[in-house]
Amino acid sequence: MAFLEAHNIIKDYYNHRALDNFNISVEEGAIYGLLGPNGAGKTTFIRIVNQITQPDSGEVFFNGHKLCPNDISNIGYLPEERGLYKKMKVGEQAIFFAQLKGISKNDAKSRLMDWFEKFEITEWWDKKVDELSKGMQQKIQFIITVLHEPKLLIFDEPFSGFDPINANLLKKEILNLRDNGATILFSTHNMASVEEICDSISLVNKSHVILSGTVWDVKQQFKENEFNITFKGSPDFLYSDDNPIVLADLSSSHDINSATVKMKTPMSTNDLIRFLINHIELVGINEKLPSMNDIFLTAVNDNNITNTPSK
Amino acid sequence: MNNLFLVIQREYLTRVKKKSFIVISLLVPFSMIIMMILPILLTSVGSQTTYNVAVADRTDQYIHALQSNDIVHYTPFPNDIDEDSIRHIYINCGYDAYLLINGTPNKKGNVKLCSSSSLTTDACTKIRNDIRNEYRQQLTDKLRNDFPEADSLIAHLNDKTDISNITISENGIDGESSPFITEFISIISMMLIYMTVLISGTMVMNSVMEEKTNKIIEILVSSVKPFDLMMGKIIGIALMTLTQIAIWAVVGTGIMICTSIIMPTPDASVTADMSQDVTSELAMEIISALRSIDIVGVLTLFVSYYIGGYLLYASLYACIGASADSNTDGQMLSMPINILIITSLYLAMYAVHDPHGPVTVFASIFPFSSPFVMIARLPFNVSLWQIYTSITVLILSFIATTWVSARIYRVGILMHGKKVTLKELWKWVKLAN
Repeated sequence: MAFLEAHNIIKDYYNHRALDNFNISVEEGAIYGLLGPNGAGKTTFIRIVNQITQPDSGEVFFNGHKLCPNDISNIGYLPEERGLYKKMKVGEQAIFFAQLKGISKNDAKSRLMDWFEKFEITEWWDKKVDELSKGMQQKIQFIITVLHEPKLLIFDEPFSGFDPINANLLKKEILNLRDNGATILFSTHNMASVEEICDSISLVNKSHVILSGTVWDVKQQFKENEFNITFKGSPDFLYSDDNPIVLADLSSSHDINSATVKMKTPMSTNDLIRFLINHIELVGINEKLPSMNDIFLTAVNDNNITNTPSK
Repeated sequence: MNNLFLVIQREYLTRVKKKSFIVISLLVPFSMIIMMILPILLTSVGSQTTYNVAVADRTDQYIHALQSNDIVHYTPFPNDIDEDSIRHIYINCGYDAYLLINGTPNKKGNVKLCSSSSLTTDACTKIRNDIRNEYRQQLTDKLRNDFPEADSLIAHLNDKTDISNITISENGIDGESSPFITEFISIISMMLIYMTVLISGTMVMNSVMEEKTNKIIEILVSSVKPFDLMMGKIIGIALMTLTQIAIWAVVGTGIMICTSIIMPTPDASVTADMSQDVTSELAMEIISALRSIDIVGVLTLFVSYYIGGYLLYASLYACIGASADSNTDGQMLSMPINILIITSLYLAMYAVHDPHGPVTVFASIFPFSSPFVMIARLPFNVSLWQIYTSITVLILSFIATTWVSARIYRVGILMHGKKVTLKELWKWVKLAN
């Protein structure tokens, strides 16, 4: 059984269905991307995992057992809509949140000091949150989320509001946490970060999971069998109709040509290379895989089109 | 349970540690005391103007009885000068005013006090009293002359009337009560409840709104149950209010004791006898009035109504805070509750004057007004069945409002950008987890 599993979750609000037969399975130690347009149901699912709301039907399993209130101390949640008490001092506040997760005051203090030193922010301890910039507050929130060393971390748009330097720092820390054994559920619209750090994803649209799997599998599923090749020699052979490939794009500089070709019928990369080296001197070849961004747009659009008439 | 305690602790400590809390805690008793002491201080320290008053007594019957003091100094004025002339010359002669006596003071226009700028109330009172006392003296003298047998009766004219107000109690120990003290006690306790409910209630509302509008709530509810969060807030703020009241009581008494030690009664030589008399009389009155009231009983009931009323209204305020999206929203939504509280206060004021009337009895059982009205009625010996009914209704009501509020709260705190209608709120109440 996977670390976090959702079985046929249904959640109705009084005027719409937020989740409909929602299934998901997150392996232990993975960084799992939960993707989808606004209002797809991601936050509702995250709230169910956090037991802020209860599903109308269906079950969530956590670490092999049915999710129960005690699991809260093993979950860290960084919501998209997040804030801190403005008039409270940073240190006091962090201790308060840590205590709510069941850590003793002294433990919280020493762990916090470690994190504050790591982020080089020890001088903020006695400042009021009011005095910090938004990015600074986000750092504190991140620390609060991970302080109790939960087994499951849920980040909802963690990078929003961070400058590139701090976003990088955060990314490093997230990978670090994963390496230390945490499982990470990661909800975002930022597709670049998904490609960089996620192992697996689920794409949610209109309360359904419409796509899920490892990032590699998903890309394979959506690839269009296109290859970028660079070669020496005449590109004329590419225009022949007898080829197993068609030319999509061609450019040349000096005596090197670059082309994008598409297979007419799927074939192995080896076969493609065999075919190419009969005609030209191959310099480089790589498969053109769709970006997560393209996959997102394609999948959501297709799903919307197939769903619209039935509505 | 542990988290409930943490929420209470945070709510309490952050408030108590605030500078404004410390300032208010110290400033309020100081300013109260200053307000009480200042007038006494001013009259004893401030130099008094003495008014020179020219007296033209055409009847020749009053002038000899007018005694000057440091407020008014009387000087006889020649009787052969007519009024117009006095009017023109009195200022030049060094007088502040002139008193013209043409006849007995019981007819309008017979006695005139004229000046270009008006005299102080003190001076006017002194002059009026002097004339009236003399007039009465003359009348009683005449009576004594004409009817010598009335002499002994006349002597009793100035006697004090004293009616002992006895409250008959069931245990046979009758106490002497004073209507003034009883009313005073009920008004003070009523105001105390009114202020706490209104001020702490609004605090609860603002605190809920802070968490909602600053989006702290998402982080919070992932580790605290909404009900614990709401109750923690309500209890934490109540404890803060109680701390504040306790500080006021301690600081206030402290200052009172200090001032009475450092500052003996002003002008001791003159007023010592009188003021001592008055204070000891007042103290006796308070003690006997307190004795006539069942202190323990009243105090227990006061605390019960205080807690009940606070919980009832605070949970409503919490629910308003949870449904509001902004401060202006909150102020608007809390209007009906504020009106309810103010109306109850009026009913309670009315209850002091009509403690057993039908409106009062109803209002002291109706849960939203009972904490105010029943407290106001308590010193007037309310029958037990009414107290029990009212307490039961209050307890049931606050359980009900807390339940409803908790359900609205739970949904409302996570809801943004929705216009809240009563219909919507009802849907939230009905919503399962």
